[in-house]
Amino acid sequence: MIEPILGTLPPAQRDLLERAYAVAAYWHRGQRRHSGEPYITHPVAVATATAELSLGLELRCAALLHDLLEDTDCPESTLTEEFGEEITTILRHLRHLESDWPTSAPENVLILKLLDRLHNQRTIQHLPPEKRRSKSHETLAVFAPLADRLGLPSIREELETLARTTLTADLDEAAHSPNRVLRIGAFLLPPATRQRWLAEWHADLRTLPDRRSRSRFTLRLLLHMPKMAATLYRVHPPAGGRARSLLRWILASDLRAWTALTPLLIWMAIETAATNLTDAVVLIITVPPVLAAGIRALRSRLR
Amino acid sequence: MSPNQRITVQTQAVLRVFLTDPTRQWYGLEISDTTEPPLATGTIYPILARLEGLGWVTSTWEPAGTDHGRPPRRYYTLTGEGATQAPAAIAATYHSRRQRLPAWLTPHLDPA
Repeated sequence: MIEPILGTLPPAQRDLLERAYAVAAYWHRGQRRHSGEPYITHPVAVATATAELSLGLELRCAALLHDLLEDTDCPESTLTEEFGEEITTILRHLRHLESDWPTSAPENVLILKLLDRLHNQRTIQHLPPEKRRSKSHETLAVFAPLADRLGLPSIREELETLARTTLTADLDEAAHSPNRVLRIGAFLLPPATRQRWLAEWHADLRTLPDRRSRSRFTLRLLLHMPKMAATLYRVHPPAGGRARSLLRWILASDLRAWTALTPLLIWMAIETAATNLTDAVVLIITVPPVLAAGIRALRSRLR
Repeated sequence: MSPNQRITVQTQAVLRVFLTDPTRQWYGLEISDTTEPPLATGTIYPILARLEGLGWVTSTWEPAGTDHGRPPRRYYTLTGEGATQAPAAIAATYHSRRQRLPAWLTPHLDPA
């Protein structure tokens, strides 16, 4: 579980990290997250993020221990004895942040706070709606600018996308927009880009005045989805060879490609029929040829 | 798409919109309504994705906090690179077809 946090640390440093994990796991024993997972998965995820940024041993340990003072009975003196003054100071700072903390706290404390929020925002669907909304607003107002200031633009981008998707999804449920159809169609897009485009389309969709123009917009987007997927796979080639070779394997045979796509098509048609029957008929007539062209295009790109 | 590849009519129309006001921010649907002739809505996004991949445009979310009663939009702006490379690439497309450059394009071309 902690292998990714250890990374390329020298053996002497691994020891301290393994101890931090053991101490954290001990004090968080029996605690659960909103998702129902054991609580320790959260500090481990935050510490993994520190390792991905190649941050030092102290911050990786502090990430594992970051909720002990706040949420468990673990005494501060235990932490000082075990892990020294430097790590404990980070934890103490984190616990007693001033109201103007985004400007006043030391940088390493800010990074930890940011990565803490990143993981919480990634798993926010398990919170009750009201809390989900207020946290997402705070993420946009405070944490996204903070990520920028700390020189972590990719984290800012992810935080913004996650928070907006949360806020949009909640609005969506309230408005019963045809977005569910788009969401299904977007499965053709590279996973990393999916949320961003959905949020963008949702905003543009909201610009349209009436239901009729909104369903036409949705339909057009669906028709262009294969083209969009081909473009995005060219701009962001899949990083893992495995996803790419799986995709290539599926696309290599018409039977396999259509086996994957047909349930999706049927689902899309049923979803569309629920709001507008004509659109559903148009969809069944027009989408398969476009998809076939899309499959051919993707196939030649991946070869 | 490499810059010396041909640029489709639709992509040209989109770039023309950006070039009319190189510092202005646009959202996708707004661009497809502004082009001459208007684009079918779905086509705009693959074009924007490709231009963004080329580094000719960049995009950001509309700042949070202002409540417009709708989710924030994704806004696109022409980059410095786009402002110089796009006109050149469009011109190259016309040259390769041995056609005269359209009048709107000339002011955007580098005199050199």
